Amino acid sequence: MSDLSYIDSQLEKHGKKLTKRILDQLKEKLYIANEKHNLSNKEVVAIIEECIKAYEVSLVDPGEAVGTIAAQSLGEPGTQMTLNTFHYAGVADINVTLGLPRIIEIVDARKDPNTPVMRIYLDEDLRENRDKAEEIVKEIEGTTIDSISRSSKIDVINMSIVIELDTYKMEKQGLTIEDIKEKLYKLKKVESIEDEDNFLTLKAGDVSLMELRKFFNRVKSHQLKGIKNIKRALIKKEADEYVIYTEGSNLGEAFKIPGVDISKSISNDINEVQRVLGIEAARKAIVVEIRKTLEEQGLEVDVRHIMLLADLMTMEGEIKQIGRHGISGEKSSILARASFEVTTNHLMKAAKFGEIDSLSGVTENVIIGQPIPMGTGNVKLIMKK
Amino acid sequence: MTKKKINILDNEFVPEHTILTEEESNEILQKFNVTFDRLPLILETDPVVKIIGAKSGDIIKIVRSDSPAGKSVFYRYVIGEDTKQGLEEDSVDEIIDEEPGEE
Repeated sequence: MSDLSYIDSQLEKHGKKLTKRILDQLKEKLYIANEKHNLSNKEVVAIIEECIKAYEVSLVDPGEAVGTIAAQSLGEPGTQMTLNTFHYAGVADINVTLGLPRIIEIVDARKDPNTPVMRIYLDEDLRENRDKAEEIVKEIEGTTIDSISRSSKIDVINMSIVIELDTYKMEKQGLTIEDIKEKLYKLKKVESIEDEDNFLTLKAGDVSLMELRKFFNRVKSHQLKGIKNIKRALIKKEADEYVIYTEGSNLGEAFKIPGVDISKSISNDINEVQRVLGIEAARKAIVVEIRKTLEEQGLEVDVRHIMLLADLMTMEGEIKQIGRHGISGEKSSILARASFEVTTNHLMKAAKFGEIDSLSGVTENVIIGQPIPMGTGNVKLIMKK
Repeated sequence: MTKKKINILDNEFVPEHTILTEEESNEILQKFNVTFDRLPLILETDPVVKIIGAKSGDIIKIVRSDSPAGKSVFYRYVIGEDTKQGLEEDSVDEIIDEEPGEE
């Protein structure tokens, strides 16, 4: 029977040729086999070498058209996906874009996705505390003047705005009249604010009626509490911890709230992830979001295809869409771009400036009927004299 | 209220980023047989780049732990705003048409 240290040293020696995951599994199995079958030193080495051979055979051949294969692998399940989005009616759940529309949103790198959602986790010591979760929800959810007022109207005679505050709602949100006045003073054009009982009277100086109306709307929708862009936040219990889901996304601000676990909290808005956490995080977010969407539809695609897509989209340091304003539009071949979208534009522009197409890509060669520079076409033969 | 310390590097989605020394950078360029302009890019204004203090021209080594292989290494070349614009200047200058709207 071989020494465990011998196994370790042999694995170390050949380790470079295998991946970490394989090495870990190989080590485990070697230990077990060693116990069970009393392996000799030679046998251990033989097993490792077999493993290396098997691994190398399974590697993708250089020149393989992985892009085309990835496209097909994602496109085919695409035909089986729903074109509808499910609507979660009511208070119990947050509406999220699903299925094909979501995939399209991701691949198009839309700057304003349909349903941005944040998943906020709490710090370790607060995770199982429902009250703490509710506190944080209050911090996050936006409250406008309108939502804590009983009534609001424009006083045309005095050219002012009168707001009747609802003390019950104010208390629930933890706001005092002083807080509200302070926030309102930040609005432009506010000249004076008087409060009597629960009535706030705001004057905006010498303005026309139309301007007063606009001012009225601005006052009503002025945000008192909560982070920008968040419409509402819900608490869900998952396993033993409380997780907050928000409709609307503002990761940067959410991180600042004490009690929020920065290590796990995340958003489904890919561009926001790039802005706040960097391009590598954005790449992972693309993979995670696409996988989630496929999984939800009951489809399975090897993660490598998705990884290839995500890598391509994030190659230049920022997220680029696959479409004509991104990757496809940046191809150097005129024929390739023309065959994708807006055909005449590209051809006309190229003709005007006498551009040259070096015919070195896949699309162009398919168009002119030549072997493509991939796979077999990757090599040229030269005759020996 | 004390300001909370926010370190985005703690987030699960952010892998390990390290700046390579000049020697290590040259090694990598040699290993892959490329010049620096063929490497994937990362912006100087990237949140992680700002934290680790990398500058335009550095090469960053990124170790991702979410691939099927267990761990995978990726390299990115840091570019600043000015270099980025240089790359975009490959397009031809617009010549003013005498008769617009021909397309």
